[in-house]
Amino acid sequence: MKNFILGLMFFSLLTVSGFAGALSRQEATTLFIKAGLSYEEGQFARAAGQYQEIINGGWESGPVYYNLANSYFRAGELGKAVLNFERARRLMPRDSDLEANLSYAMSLTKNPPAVKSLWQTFKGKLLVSFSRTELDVALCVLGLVLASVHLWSLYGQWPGRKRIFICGLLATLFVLVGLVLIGQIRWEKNSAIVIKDSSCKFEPRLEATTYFDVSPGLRVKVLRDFESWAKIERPDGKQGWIIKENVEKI
Amino acid sequence: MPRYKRKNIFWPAVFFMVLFMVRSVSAEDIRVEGTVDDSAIELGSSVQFRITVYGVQQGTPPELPAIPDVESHYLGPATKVSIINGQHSSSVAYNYQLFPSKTGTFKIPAVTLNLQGRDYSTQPIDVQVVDAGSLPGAQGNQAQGINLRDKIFLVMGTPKKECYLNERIPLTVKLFVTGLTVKDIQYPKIRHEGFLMDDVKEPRQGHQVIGGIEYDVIEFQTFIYPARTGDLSLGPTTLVCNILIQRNRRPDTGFGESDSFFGNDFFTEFLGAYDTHNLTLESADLKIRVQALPEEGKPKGFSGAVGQFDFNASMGPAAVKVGDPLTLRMTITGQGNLKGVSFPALSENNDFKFYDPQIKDDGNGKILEQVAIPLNDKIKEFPALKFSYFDPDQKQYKTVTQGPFPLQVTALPKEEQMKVVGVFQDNPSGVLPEVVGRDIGFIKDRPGRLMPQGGSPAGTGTMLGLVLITLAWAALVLFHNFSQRLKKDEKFARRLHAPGHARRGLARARTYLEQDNQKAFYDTLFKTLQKYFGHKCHLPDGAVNLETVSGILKARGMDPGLLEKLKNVFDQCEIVRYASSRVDTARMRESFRLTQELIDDFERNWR
Repeated sequence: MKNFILGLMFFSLLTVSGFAGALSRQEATTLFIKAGLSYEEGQFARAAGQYQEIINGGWESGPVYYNLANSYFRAGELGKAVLNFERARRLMPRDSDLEANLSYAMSLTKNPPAVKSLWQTFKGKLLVSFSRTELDVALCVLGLVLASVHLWSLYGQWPGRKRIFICGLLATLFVLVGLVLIGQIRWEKNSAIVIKDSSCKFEPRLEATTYFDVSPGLRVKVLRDFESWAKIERPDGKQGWIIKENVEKI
Repeated sequence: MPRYKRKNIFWPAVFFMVLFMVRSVSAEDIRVEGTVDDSAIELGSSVQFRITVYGVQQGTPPELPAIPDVESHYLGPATKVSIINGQHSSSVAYNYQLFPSKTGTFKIPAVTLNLQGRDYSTQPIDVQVVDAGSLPGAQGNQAQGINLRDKIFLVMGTPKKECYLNERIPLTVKLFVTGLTVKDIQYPKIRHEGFLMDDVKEPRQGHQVIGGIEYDVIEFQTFIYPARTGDLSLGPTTLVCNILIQRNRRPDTGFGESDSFFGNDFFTEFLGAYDTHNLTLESADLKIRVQALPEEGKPKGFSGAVGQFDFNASMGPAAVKVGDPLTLRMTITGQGNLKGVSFPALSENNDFKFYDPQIKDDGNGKILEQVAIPLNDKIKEFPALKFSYFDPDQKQYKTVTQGPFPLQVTALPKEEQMKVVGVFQDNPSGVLPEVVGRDIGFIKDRPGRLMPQGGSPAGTGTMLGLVLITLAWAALVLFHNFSQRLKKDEKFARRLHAPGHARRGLARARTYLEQDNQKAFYDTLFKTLQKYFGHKCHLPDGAVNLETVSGILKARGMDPGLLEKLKNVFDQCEIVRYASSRVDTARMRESFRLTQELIDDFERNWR
């Protein structure tokens, strides 16, 4: 028991102190500043490499992905720019600069805008409006509030209708937030961005017939993997096989 | 000279033609011209001298004055009536043949005719007489040796050799032809580098006598506008035409081909007696000095108009409401560079909004119509309009002012207030949409909260938290339910409390056992059992006895051994309590043990 507790404390210390991998937090911060200077000097490829080093070193944050995306954009790699903007949006969903940059980058892609129903548009906006952390905390807080209010209603002997109404309201909110969180998890689980102009085949082999083409920046869903191929689904529902290295998961 | 009133062409022409047909005198001007068919002849040949009286159809041939060493013979008259450019004309030609008898130059003196009470005279003409063979192809008008430059030539001219920048200058190009038949005359091509030029108008035909020789003249007119200052060269001008040259020409008698400008003798052409020659004529160029407009006295709003202009402006209606349209009309007429003339500019201000003007050019001038919208009811007038131009004849700037125009603008009631429509329709603030560029924003200067990659700690913590919260909540809910049951369900509560009561009772009994207080011990033991089974079976304390409890326990299917044990303990308690017998400590302990076992057994087996 004692050893278990000690081990738990050690692990906590690791996560709290900021040692996540090859880089320390301080090193990651320093690298971030260096990358910013490279960007200001116009060395966009070098800046992208430095930001990527932070990520490879086990650290991430919204600004890191945002700056990485900007660097890729300036370096002419539109697909990777969109990919990293999407990654940044997971962590800082309502950043106006990010929304503007992503919108502009998407406007430069050759992909036609997806035709969505009102519900799909609303759902899409809802799922990207909150970060995972925010949803987790919200769910936790709502759970605590719901439990507290319910217990209070029990011990305070509230009238049944009042208890049902308030607790029902809180429970609905809790469920909704839970659904948004689940939706976000599912939505991000297999979402990917095309990073190179590619042809999607009917079968996972180079000689197969091309079904459709995709351009960098297109958001697709990865359905399955097979060797060096991945089966993707376009927003319009078309499915095809693409070389795995031409698409990257968010 | 009496002044002749100009009249409308058509009916007078008809009238004059009628007059001609009855051989009456027409009302056109009378003039007299003397011409020769050649100004240089060889000795032994003759020259034809013609006196043409225009404006008459008949008359008496004048007597030629004597010319030394020249014999003259009257050949006869020739009458001609023509309608050229809509103008009716008639003439009588008196033809003379003159034979010089020696070489040299002789002068044909002026010949005076008295017509309708007035004297008209020809101009003296010099004729050169040379030895025979001195002139190339001097006989008649043969094709070989004709000096065409004397027969047909092009002249370009302007009335001014000095002018101002943008000044309107008339330009004429004249084609002179004598003794030739010309056809297929094309419009002249005028080289006008440094000038702007209007289109060349339809040519006019006429006659002109130069050096005693009558020429048919075709005159082309246009206008030029110098576009830069300095010494500019205009021309040369070229003109292309075809001439018909007769191979065997009959002597000129004053009738026939030579009188007809576009000679078209059907029989001679039919017999192939003419050759067609393409001719390109070129005029001399002109030098024109172009001055810049003077800076002194140049008005502020001068926009480059040069000439003599009239400027008029009007505005209506004079009374409007705010937002109602006003129509401004300006006209500029006159002589000058109308095409380059600009109307006074109107700039947007707080009082008026202006729409794009409509400008028309009707050939006589320029007309501008523009809509203005008054924006407030404080306006009392539309400001004056000024048009400035430079008069090259008077060498000074002039400004014509029109207005200001009184205006009465009334405000609209609030509910009727209208928005200004037009380009501002979607922008009530009046601000024109701004065209902006687009690009990505700059990078972030702070890394934010760096987290270990791959998952948010909040996720794990949240799950843990939710689990703990759920457990705590469940525990508290259960506890609450339990508490409520305890409160509401007495049977359950008594049954729940029974072991506790039993333990406390047994603890008291142990105390009495330690004290060897036999009566209190057995009393406590009995009451403990009584209370225990009373709670367990939900019986009042007073109703608990062996029979009652045994019956309930039997009904619950309790083990008969336990019932027997219960009977023994009850009997022991009864004996001591009621029989007051004395039992030893060992027996008391045994009773205590049995009671304890009994309660434990019942707790284990109670269903």
